[in-house]
Amino acid sequence: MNMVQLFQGIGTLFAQEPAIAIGRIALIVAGLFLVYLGVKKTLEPLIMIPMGFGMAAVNAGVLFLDAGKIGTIFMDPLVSDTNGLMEIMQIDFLQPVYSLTFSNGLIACLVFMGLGTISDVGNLLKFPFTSMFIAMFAELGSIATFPIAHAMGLDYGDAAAIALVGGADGPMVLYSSLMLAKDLFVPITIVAYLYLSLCYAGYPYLIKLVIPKHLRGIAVKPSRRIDDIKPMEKIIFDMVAGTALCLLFPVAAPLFLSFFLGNAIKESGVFKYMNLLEDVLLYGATFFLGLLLGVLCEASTLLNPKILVLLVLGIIALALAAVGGMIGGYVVYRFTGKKFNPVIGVAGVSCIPTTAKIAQKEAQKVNKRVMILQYAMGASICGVITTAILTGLYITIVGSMQ
Amino acid sequence: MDESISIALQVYFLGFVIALGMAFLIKIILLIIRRGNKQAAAKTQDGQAGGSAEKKDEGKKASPEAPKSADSETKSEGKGEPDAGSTAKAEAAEGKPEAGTNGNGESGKEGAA
Repeated sequence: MNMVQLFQGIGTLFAQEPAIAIGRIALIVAGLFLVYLGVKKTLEPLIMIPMGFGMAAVNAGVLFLDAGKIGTIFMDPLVSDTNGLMEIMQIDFLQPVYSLTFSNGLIACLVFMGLGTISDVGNLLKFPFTSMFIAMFAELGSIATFPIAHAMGLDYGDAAAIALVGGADGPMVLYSSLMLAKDLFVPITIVAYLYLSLCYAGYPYLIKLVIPKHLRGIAVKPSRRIDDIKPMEKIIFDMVAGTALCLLFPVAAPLFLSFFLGNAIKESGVFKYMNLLEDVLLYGATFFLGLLLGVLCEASTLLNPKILVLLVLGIIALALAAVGGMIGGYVVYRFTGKKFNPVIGVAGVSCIPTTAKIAQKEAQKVNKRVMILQYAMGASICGVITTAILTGLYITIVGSMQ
Repeated sequence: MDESISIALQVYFLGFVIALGMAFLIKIILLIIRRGNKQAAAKTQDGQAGGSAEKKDEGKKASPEAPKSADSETKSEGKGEPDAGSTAKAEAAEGKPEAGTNGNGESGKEGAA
């Protein structure tokens, strides 16, 4: 028996173009490295472990298919005709998950529903203007990256999708790139998730760079006593805000519905639904999201010359978002007579709850007794809402131009 | 390039207006809910205060047979006034699960978050 036919994973390396073969080997190594970094908790393990495994497996498990074609039996993201899809669904084991949950944005909505159940909008309701103000400053990345991306040769749809990486919400980036940049949604989503995992490592340095030490430990002093927010008030907010935003942006309505429904379920105390959304759907969806993203990292897909541009733009978007948020924090610090900690601004970037935790940690490094987490969580949840608003605006405005 | 900047500015401006509009909406929602709650609470208090004042008056004027009638009146008052009674009941019914969720759910989640 021919060895190339016997060990097809290795055999295909010799049958493919050298660039793709080298890319495959590099991606196998990169996948295993991502798993290692996930296990070590340097990167987000919930995404990186399944993603790394998927990446390594899809680049290793390449075989000779019918008619001399080379491919895998994981899934085919490019299949478009109904008959072909029905056939592939019976062969490729991840195809049903991909076609029925990923390519229509359902998986993003499920993650968003779960995020709703772990978010407490109480802090946003306590400080609505401050939180929204900071979150809008933190959208600097989503705004300023758009013309930069266009100047670097991307069309409006691709530019808007990569700019939304600045909103630091994985599901939102996935959803917007599915709507606006169908050809680039795989690399854009991968870049987004890679960088979002890096936020935890990079933002503390950015905070130290932008905000002087004596400002980082300031305790927030509210100008008046603020009453606690009751669950019924939160539910009414969920109902009104969710409906109003769906009314304004029907294109992003699935995201709004998912988030506010998840939050209303949490506040209404329906524990069986809460457990379903939080423990089953959120983690289930995150697991399959990671796995599918990994499996989508085939060498032939990632050897796109635009990927380098996306890597640069992704980091610009996230860095500008953090700087914008901190500028917002500094403006509030000035307006409130120096009674506000500007570090909270970084939480406006969203990436809930990572950025809020980073803000609290960095403030506590300077002043052990300072507690800014509740303000940071308010800004962080507002970040989710403002990113959803910008997503709706981009899809509506840019989508109509395409 | 110029067009992309104008799109970005348009998106940002609209986003800012909508975000601040939402903040304003939140304030209004809270104001309406709290005003409604306060009015309901005031009504309940009025009902209770009226009831106890009448009880005292009845007690002072009371003839030997009076305690019986005063007692029965107070009882009927407590159950009686439909407005105050129902509001109080509604509040109690609303209050219990809220407190429960707040205590168990929220603080726990905060920690988890």
